Amino acid sequence: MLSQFNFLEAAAEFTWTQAFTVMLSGVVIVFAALILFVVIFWLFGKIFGRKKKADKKQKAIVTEVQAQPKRAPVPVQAAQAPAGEEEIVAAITAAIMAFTGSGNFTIRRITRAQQSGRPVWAHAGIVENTRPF
Amino acid sequence: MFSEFISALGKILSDSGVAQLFADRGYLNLIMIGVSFVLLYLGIKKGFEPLLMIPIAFGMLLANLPLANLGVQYSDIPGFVEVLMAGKAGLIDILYFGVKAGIYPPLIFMGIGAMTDFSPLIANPKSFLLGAAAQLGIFVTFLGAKALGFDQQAAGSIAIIGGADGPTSILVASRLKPELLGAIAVAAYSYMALVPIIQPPIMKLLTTKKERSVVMETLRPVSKTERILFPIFVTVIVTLLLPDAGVLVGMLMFGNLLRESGVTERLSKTAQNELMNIITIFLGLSVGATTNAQNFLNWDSLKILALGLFAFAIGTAGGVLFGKLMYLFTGGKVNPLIGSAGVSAVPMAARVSQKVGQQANPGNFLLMHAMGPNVSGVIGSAIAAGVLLSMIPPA
Repeated sequence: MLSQFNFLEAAAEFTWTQAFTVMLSGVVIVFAALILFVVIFWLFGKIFGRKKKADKKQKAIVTEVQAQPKRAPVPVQAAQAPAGEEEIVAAITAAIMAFTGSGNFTIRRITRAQQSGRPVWAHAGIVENTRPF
Repeated sequence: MFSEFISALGKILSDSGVAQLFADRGYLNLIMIGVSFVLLYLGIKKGFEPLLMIPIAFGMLLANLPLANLGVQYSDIPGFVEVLMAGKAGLIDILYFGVKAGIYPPLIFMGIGAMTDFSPLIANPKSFLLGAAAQLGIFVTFLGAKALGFDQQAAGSIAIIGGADGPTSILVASRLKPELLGAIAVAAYSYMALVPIIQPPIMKLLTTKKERSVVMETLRPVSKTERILFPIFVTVIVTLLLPDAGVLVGMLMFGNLLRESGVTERLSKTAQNELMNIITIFLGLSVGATTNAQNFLNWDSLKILALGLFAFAIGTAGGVLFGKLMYLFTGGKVNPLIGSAGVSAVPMAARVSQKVGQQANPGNFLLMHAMGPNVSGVIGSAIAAGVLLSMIPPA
């Protein structure tokens, strides 16, 4: 397609006009192609993106995380772990820290997800295998 | 009889490579051998992209040992046929054919595609733009190369260093200006290794602390279907738009499809490992062997070194500035630091964004967000290479 623009002679000398032509064409073409992709994959997101809401039902933990460390620290009462559950809370906290890469959050509440009669891992496996394509 | 023995010894010595080093202009070979030692040191001791630097350095060493005939003897395909027919083709000549015919770089790209996860890019398609902005380094360097007196083939080959992509640089240089291939390859891989040093000052210069501290929202999960359709779509669109970019982008996406399809696990494994390693060895060794004193020890190489640095700097700046633009347009949702990752040194540039971001805001996790522009830059630099190859006729 671009060979019609192949007016650049194979001469050792090339002019500034030719150089600027290459530069501008290059920038324009690269941007045009990638803008096209932005549009196409944004559409992808619209088509395939509604999955995100479906995923929320499968979350086993409900936590509230303070993500913005810049906010003036509001004294928040961290939830007291019920006796005997402290290790679970510690494990959950550690998992969140590892996942988000920061310790800047306070766990306010941990609630068990809906019991559906199946063990949680089996439930997760079924969700994984039946996730709509 | 003794005198015959002495004269036989003398003849062997005078035919040896050592004697050549002291013949006229032989000292140039000695200097090149010294340069290869420096590069070996950088690769082995300092960790400068060793997987390529060491084969390149060793190829340089072999090619400059006199009379061993381990340098590349041709610079175009007809030349290769000539050398072949004359029965003079050596190991390096055969290995170099893959470079000259443009076979190795696309195969390396296939391996790269098999190793790359494009989901951060699919999840946030705006990152494509940052990958485009960082390719500014290529085109501004094209002008810079002209300003330093290079012809258009040389300018194109040098400019592509700004894509921060070894195989792309080698493909373009081997087609447009093979004499400069050695210097360009050395410059490209050296600067890729230096990304953690080159980028941060530029990133900090062009952004405010507030901008650097932006925390970006979590990326949406990307489904398997999207990850399978992505390589197919990209291949079709890019190759239809710009056939010259088809070979690089097509192979990149083929490798990615092997990875994402889920049913070609063994092919994906081979592409990422054995095949990649084989091609890297052949490519590095033969590219290094193209260097000789005439085409390496001159002012052009110094200019190439300078332009390469310039290219990386402009690319970083372009990405960061476009990142700032996106920061403004999205009302502060995009951290400009991920823009510098559009320079396609994967994953080094993304790690640099992560590190600089963490300096401004400890606990900020930019790595996955920066991977989007990073891998988009690979596609962007391949497209830029296609543009250069289509607009600049071979010499």
